[in-house]
Formats: sequence, C-alpha cells, structure tokens
Amino acid sequence: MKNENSYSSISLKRIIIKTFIILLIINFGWIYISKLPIGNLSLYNYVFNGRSRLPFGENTRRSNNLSLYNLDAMFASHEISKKQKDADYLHVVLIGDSSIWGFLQEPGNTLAGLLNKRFLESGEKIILHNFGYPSISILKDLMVVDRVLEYDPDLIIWFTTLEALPIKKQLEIPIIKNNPLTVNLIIEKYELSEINKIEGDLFENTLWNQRRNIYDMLNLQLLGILWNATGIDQEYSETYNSARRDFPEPLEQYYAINQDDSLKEFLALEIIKNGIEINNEIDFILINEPILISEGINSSVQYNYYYPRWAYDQYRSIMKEFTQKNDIKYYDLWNLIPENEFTNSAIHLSEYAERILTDEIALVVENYIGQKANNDNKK
Amino acid sequence: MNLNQIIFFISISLLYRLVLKEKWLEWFVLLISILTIFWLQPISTIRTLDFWLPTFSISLGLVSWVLITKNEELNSRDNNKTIIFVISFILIIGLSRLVPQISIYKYISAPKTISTILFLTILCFVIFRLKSFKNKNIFIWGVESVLLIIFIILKNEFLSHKLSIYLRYINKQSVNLAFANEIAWIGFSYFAFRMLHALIESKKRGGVSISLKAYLGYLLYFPAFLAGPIDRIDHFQEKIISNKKLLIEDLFYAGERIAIGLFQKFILADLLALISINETLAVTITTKFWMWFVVIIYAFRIYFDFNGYSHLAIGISRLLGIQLPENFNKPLLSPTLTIFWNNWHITLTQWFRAYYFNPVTRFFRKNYKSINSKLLMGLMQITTMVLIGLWHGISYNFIAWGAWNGIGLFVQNRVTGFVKKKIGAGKPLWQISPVYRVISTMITFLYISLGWVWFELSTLDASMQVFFILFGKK
Repeated sequence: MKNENSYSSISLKRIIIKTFIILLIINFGWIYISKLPIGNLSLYNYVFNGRSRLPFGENTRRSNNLSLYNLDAMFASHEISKKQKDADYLHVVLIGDSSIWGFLQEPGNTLAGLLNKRFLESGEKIILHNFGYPSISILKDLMVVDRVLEYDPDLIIWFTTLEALPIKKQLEIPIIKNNPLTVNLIIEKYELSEINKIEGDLFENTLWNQRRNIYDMLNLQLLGILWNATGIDQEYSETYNSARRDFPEPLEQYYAINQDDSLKEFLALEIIKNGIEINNEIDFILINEPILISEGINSSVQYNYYYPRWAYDQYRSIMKEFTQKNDIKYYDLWNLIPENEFTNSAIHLSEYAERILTDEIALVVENYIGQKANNDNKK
Repeated sequence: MNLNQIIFFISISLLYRLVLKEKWLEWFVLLISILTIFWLQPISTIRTLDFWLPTFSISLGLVSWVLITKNEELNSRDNNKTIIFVISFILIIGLSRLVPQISIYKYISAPKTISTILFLTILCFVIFRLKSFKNKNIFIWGVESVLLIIFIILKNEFLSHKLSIYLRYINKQSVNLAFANEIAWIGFSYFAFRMLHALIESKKRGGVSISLKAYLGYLLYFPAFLAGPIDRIDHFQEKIISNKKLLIEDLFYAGERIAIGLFQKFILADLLALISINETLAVTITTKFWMWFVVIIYAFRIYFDFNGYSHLAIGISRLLGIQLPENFNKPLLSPTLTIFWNNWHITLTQWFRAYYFNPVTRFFRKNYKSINSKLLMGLMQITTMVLIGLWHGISYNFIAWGAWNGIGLFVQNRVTGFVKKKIGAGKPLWQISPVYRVISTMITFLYISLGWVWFELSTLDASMQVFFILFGKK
C-alpha cells in the first residue's frame, strides 16, 4: 500500500471526474477492441490438446465445459485449428445438432469419434471432424459451415431434421442472437430473403455489456486444463429422463401450422439451397437424421416429442423433392434407429445407435469416395 | 455477496460520506446493516424462515446488549430511541405481507401479523425485564449456551436436517422435502463469534460501555457480515466514534483495497475455482500430475477468495471512515506453519487463541504442573485447530483438516527445536539462509495445500482417494 499521506494535495473533484472519464473511455473503447479477433488467442492446440467438438456445457463444474458465444474462441479451441491440413487425408466435416455433437456420449463414441476409429483401423486416410452443436437451427448450421470453410474441408456431411427448419425459430437460438454481426453477414452473403437481419445495439459491445463474454473466453482457456486432465467435456448423468414415448394429448399443429397449410412455406429451405450453391467448390451430402419413432400412446398421431406424423411425413416428401430439384446428394435415415435406442431426447442416440449410424455413414463416405474416383477417372 | 450487492455497498457508503454529517454514522451503519441481513438472507424453502432468521439475529443482539451493558447506561434516551427504531423496523418488514405489491414481499415471507406482534411484544418484555437484574452473568451463560447450541445445529448436517424436518412439520410443509442446507442462517458464524467475544469481555470487565446503535452495528456490520474480519468490540467502538470527514487519503486507500478485493474475488478466485480440487475433479482426475495441479491451485483460490472479501470489507469500511483489522498478511509466503496461522484469517485465530488456547493452556499449567509441557503444547495446538475446523462445519472432514494442521504445527515446532539444538544455532534454519527460507516456505505451502483436500471434500473417503493418487498409490 502507498503512503496514505502522499495523496493529500489532490482534489477530490478532479479525481472523481478523471476516474469517470477513464472508465468511459475503457468501456466504449472496447467496442473497437471487440471487433478484433481476440477469440483466436487460444491456448488450445498449443498448450492444451484441441477439443474434439465445439465447447458446450450447461453445468461448468460438472461438465468441465461451458457454452459461450464467441465463434472465434469456439473454433480456436477445436482440434481442427491444430495445424495445416494434411493433404493426404480426406477431411470430412460433420455438421448438425446435439445428436451429431454427441449428447451423453464420450468424444470417442460420437459419430465422428467412431468413424475416426473405424477408418484408422481400416487404414483409410479419412479424418472426420465433429462440428455438431447442441441447438437445432439450420441458420446456426450455415454459420458453422461458413466458418468451417476456412479449414478447407473436402466433404461436408450436413445432418438436419424438420425441427431445424421453421423460419420463425431461426433467430431465436442463443448462439444466433449473440452473434448479430456474423449472422447479418451470413444473411447478406447467402442472400437469405426469408430471414430478417438482427438489429444491432450500439452499446452491446461496451466492456460492461461484454463482461460475461470476456469471462467466458477466459474460462474456456482454463477449462483446457481440465479437458487435458480428464478428457471429459460434458456431464454424463447416470440417470436421465428418457425421451417421451407417450402422448396422451397429441400435437395437432406444428409451430401453429395446420395439416391443411403448406408446410413448405414455413421452412427455411433457402438456407440449405443457397448454402450449398454458393459453396459449390466443396462437396455436400445432406442427411435427414434419425428420429425416435414412438410406439407409445397416440403414436399413430405423433412420432415423438417434436413431430405430429402429418408434419414429419410432409417434410420428408418436401425434402425428397427439394434435394432432387436442386441436385443435392441426400440420404433419408429417419427410421434407421430402433425406438429403444434413443436416450433423453427424440434425436439423442445411445452408444449402440451411434454404432448403427456409424456403419451407415461409413458406407455413405465410402460411396462418395468411390463416385469421386469414378468421376476423376472419367475426366 | 455478488458484484451488484458490493457496488451497492460501495455507492451507499460513498454517498453517506459525501452527503451526511459525521454524527449520523452509527445510525447509518445500523440501518444499512439491518437492511443487509434481511437482504442477504436467501429466500427459504421453509415458509417465513427468511424473516425469522434475521429477526432472531437482531433479537439476540438486543438481548445480549442488555446483558453486557452497565445498568446505569441502559436507559439513556439514545438507547431507547434505538430500541424503538429496531423494533419498528422489524415490525415494518413483518407487515410487508399485508402489501403484496411492494417488492420486499417477494424476498421475505413474513409470518402472520399476529405472530410478528406477539414475538416483538415478548422481546420487549424480555429486554425490559432483563434490565432490572443486577447480576446478569447467569443470563450471559444462557445466551452463550444458546449461541453454541444453534452453532452446533447449523454446522452439523444431521442436526440441521432434523431441525429442518421439525420446522417443516410445524409449518405444515412436506417433511419429505427437508434437507440439511435448507436452514441457511446467513452470517451466523461471524455474528455469533462477535457476540461471544462481547459477552466474554463483559464478564471479564463487569460490563461494557457501548451504545445499542454501536453494538448492533458491530454485530451486524454490513461490510464484514459475511466473511469477517471479526473485529474487537472496543476497537470497533473507538473507530465508529472517531469518524471524520471524508479525506482524499481515505478515498484512495479504499479505492485501492476495493480494486484489489474485486480483482482477487471476482476474477482470480472465481476463475481458479474452475480448476481447483472439488468433488467432481476428485473422482475424474486419475493422474498424479493433474491432481497435484488442482490441489495446489485450490490453495491460491481459497486465499484469493477470503482475502478478496477482506480487502472489500476493509475498503468499504474505510469509505465510512472505519478501520477494520487486517485478516490476511501474505500467508502463502510463510516459512513455517506457525507463521502461516499467524497470518491466515488472523482475527479468527486470534479469537481462538484468546478464548481457548491461552486460557486452557494456563489452566492446565496451573492445575496440572506435572504434565509434560511439549505434550500439552501439542494437545493444545491440535485441539485448537480441530475447533477452528469445527467452526467451518461439524463433520469428519473438518475435524481431519483441523487435526492435519494441528499435528503439522506440533511436528514443525518439535523439528525446528530439534534442528536448532542439533546445529547449535540460536535461530531456526529458515532464518539462517534464504535458500532454507525458500525450501521451508515451499514445504509449508505444500503441507497447507494438502490440508485443503480435507477441507474441500465432504468425505474422508474422497480425500483419501485424492491422497492415494497424489502419492501414486493407485
């Protein structure tokens, strides 16, 4: 501590005014600093191993993980940021929701983890990168796709489901809401006419308002220690509430859409179409991900927690027609997994189900490689 | 306390110092402190408990003041005004249930008005009845016993759970939902120890001279209510009376202490909390290196947490012109365990030294002269540390933590004595050379860090598992 008497000649009023001005400068100066890619400053892949999936966690203490909204920091923590791309390998990126991210599954037992294990054992030079993220939104998926292009992948396998497509829910996802600048750029770049731009707030990026984000970025770096120490990046509850199978009061509408309405009008298919078209230098495969097909009460009306049967059936027809029309490689795996192999949600898979899906996707990848080789030979 | 609450305390203290006259300090401290104990008391799942616990704190304060104060000073106009103010304040909070529109209603579930009035009437009767007694020592013993019983119940999971069941039963709430932590009497540990100090000192001196305002301000003093320091009553009284106009030095000093406190508590401690040993990491980390890492980080984390709060309490107090005692003095740089415990949570260890270690040691030395002095010292060090452990919670892990530190102190004293004798030096090794000092400091730090494993983990089994990993036995 300084000598207390050394301050006596300074005027109180001046001190308060100066302090206030300095605080204002720092607070508003952060608006400019926040435009710099500070999230890229990361200890991951240098001091700690990179994460095998994007950071996400609802209970930091138990999961050694956290949800944050800084895309730079999220991507910098992923193992894909580790080094230059190894050109000898086929780099496949998996995009999707929590089922692809691997809810309740250890990193090695997610779809990407199991595929990597399989290809390593078979000696095939294929690397899968898990870019699933636990929120169901096609706009969020496109934001990840756009970002992942920086890593120059060879193939993107894009898993989706009906729940990701309603236009009205696209801007309601936290990671979308908290990235207005990026989202608006995506809307512009991909000429998305159905989605409105997010209105920015001048004060949103002040230091005071960004304190949570800054704190999260610091936490993410510290959690790298626990990621290295334990290899755990989510809470694996021994017990959980199983996905609903019974629907005593079944859904009649889907997002206030009636059976008589045209479902297609309400779906953001434009995001998939433009996303694939504009990035035509990369190969895409679109997959309708497996869902729980309930056999419980009123399952004749409702497939699962999310979907009335009429809506999902219509969606499948729409997707078939949409992908054919736009020449998009598409696989419909909706009924691949037995009913009892879903965990706590109608899209979250058990370890056994992950293996079933792995077999199927391995075929998809091998098929892709075969076709690509044929096409290259023809050329 | 969260950041918003701390900002409120800083602002209100600064505002008081800039706007109000010095003579209002005692009233100001009293008002804000009473408000604070209701404000910080968590909303309880047991109906009306969030009203009764702060009310009991204040009531115990009123009763104990009557017991410790010299009879001739009890009936001053100023003290009577304070009694009326405090009782009215509780009554107003109690009556808030009649106006569900006001925001206070959301935070405090006041009981039926008749219960509040009945309780306050009995309290007034007790206060006025106690005033008439000349020798109040028997009542002081009574209050001390009540405090200790409450302390034991609150700090023991089994008893807390039983009390929770009972309170739910009389409240006609589901007893099956009762759990031990339901009765969170905020700040009781510090409050009770301040009151015990006042009661013991009063017995020693045949009563003390302190106004009710100053006494309640001392017991419930808002900057130190949650995490200390535990000031001495005469010291606090002296400081609250000698309050002066806000000086630029106070502002700088307070600003510096508050800035350090905020940084240590809300940045360092909170960030390190993520990577320091806890129940989850104790079972998920399986390698020696990382286990040592999280155990050592915990030592820093707990230091920054407690010390951060102390800086804040001292800084906010300085804004009011009150100088609180220091509670930490670079303990992590201590070359011996004795020095560590002289520099860690200083006011708490001083409390135990004053009211347990010194008197009990004196008693044994006087009455059992044949007892081996080294053995007595060891026994006293271990039991003192176990009692400090029990102050944190009555469970095996805190007993183990206390015993670990007590045994450490005893062994270190004996080893120091032995080495001093062996090498024929007049002082301990760490005072002879900087190299020995560094080594000694590191050993002390590691010993203390290992001790925190007992402190943090709730079961002895979990702690043992951590020790097995640390020492490669797993």
